[in-house]
Amino acid sequence: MKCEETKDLLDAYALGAVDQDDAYRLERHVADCLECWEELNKSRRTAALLSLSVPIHPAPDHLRRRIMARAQMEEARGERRHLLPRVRPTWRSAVGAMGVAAVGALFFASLLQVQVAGLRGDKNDIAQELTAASTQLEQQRQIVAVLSASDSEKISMDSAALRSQAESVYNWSRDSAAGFIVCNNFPVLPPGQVYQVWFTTTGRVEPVATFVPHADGGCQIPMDMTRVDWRPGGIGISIEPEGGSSSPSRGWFAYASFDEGSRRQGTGLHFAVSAFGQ
Amino acid sequence: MRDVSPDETAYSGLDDEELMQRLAYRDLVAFRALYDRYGNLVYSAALRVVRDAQIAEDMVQEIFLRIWRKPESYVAQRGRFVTWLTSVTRNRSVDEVRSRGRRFRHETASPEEQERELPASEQDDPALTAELSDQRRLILAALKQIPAEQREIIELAYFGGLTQQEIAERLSQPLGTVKTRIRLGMQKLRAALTPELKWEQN
Repeated sequence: MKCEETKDLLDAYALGAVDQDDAYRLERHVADCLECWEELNKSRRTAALLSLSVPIHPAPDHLRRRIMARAQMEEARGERRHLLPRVRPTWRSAVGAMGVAAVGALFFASLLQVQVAGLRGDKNDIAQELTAASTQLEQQRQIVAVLSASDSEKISMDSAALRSQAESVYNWSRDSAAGFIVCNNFPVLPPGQVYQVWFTTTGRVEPVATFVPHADGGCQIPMDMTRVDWRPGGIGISIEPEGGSSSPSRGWFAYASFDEGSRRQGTGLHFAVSAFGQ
Repeated sequence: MRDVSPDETAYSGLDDEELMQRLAYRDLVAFRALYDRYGNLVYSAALRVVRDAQIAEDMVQEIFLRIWRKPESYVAQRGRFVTWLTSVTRNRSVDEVRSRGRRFRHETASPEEQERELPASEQDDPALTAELSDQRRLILAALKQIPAEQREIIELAYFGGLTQQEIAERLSQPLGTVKTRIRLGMQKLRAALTPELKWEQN
């Protein structure tokens, strides 16, 4: 795109009215042309002033109460940076989490007494939020504990499928008896299926948690290992029916061995499908 | 009148940028002060685009909570806080309208119908500073000065989220005419708003 064509399009671009192809070509030109860039800034500032010209309609009072209550609740949860995905712990970690959830719910309920009154008709939502909030708080506590532990370690898991874009890393700390998986580009599963995490050692495979990644394929899955009273040799992720299975029904979706030798080489490639006789 | 604690009156002396700096300290009173200053304006900007009170409320909630979670997303060097805030609102609202697709009412109503639905009001927002109210009046006056056919296209682009091509189809006008009207209208607007643009640059 040349300067002349760019200048013809700048105003429309600033108003958001050019199609994607033209927008892309214009951006490429402006990146290299200071003169057009300055013109674009003028157009942009003019367009931005339009946003101040709107007729005023008073925002409803309940909106203010709702936003303030949520801001306060997020502050109490300490979760302002990001939200954690849904995690359905299996019985192993659920027992521990439920105790924490009960205490947490009481704590938040006292904080929010005033706010709840303002949230007309939202009480069921609030009750659900309280439970979710305390679960998330506990999950975040685990993640922070793992990352800040002096024995914090991590390992990349290998994906079984060739050319898979899926990535997963397992972080853990033995001292904190906790770990978490971070995943990226995990394929969205059909309804009725979940990912399930397992610890393995020779002849033994134990479920840890099931999860559904975010729509963008990312996740952070905290795992409580206080009840894992044996030393796992590896960690695997498989695809299972909703609710999870008692043993992996198919091969690994991703797997990493904790074996020192393979970790040093950085491969960790133990597609130990045979480990559970498949 | 809602209760105003002594705490809150102290915040009314802070400018927008100072309130935003307080958000980095997780200061809820500063957040409330910011909402009280601009809640109506943001709601109105969202409503101007989405034309549905419920969706506009969702937009306001999302935008303010985003500011609460990530106050650093506003960079003071790039312009004034209030125009950043209303521009973000406009952009997010246009995305929402687009993602809801063509079945959305706004896409099917004619421009004339749309304008009738939400008649422009001269009502002012008492929460805005005198300076900002004056500026709003200047912008509205500048918009009135430009020919109606140019203003209509500019508003369809900016608030309606339509491309030049879509506007041409909608109004049954040649694409070239739409492009020319956008350019001429924006030139006039820029000329009329030169003092305001300088302020925006600071």
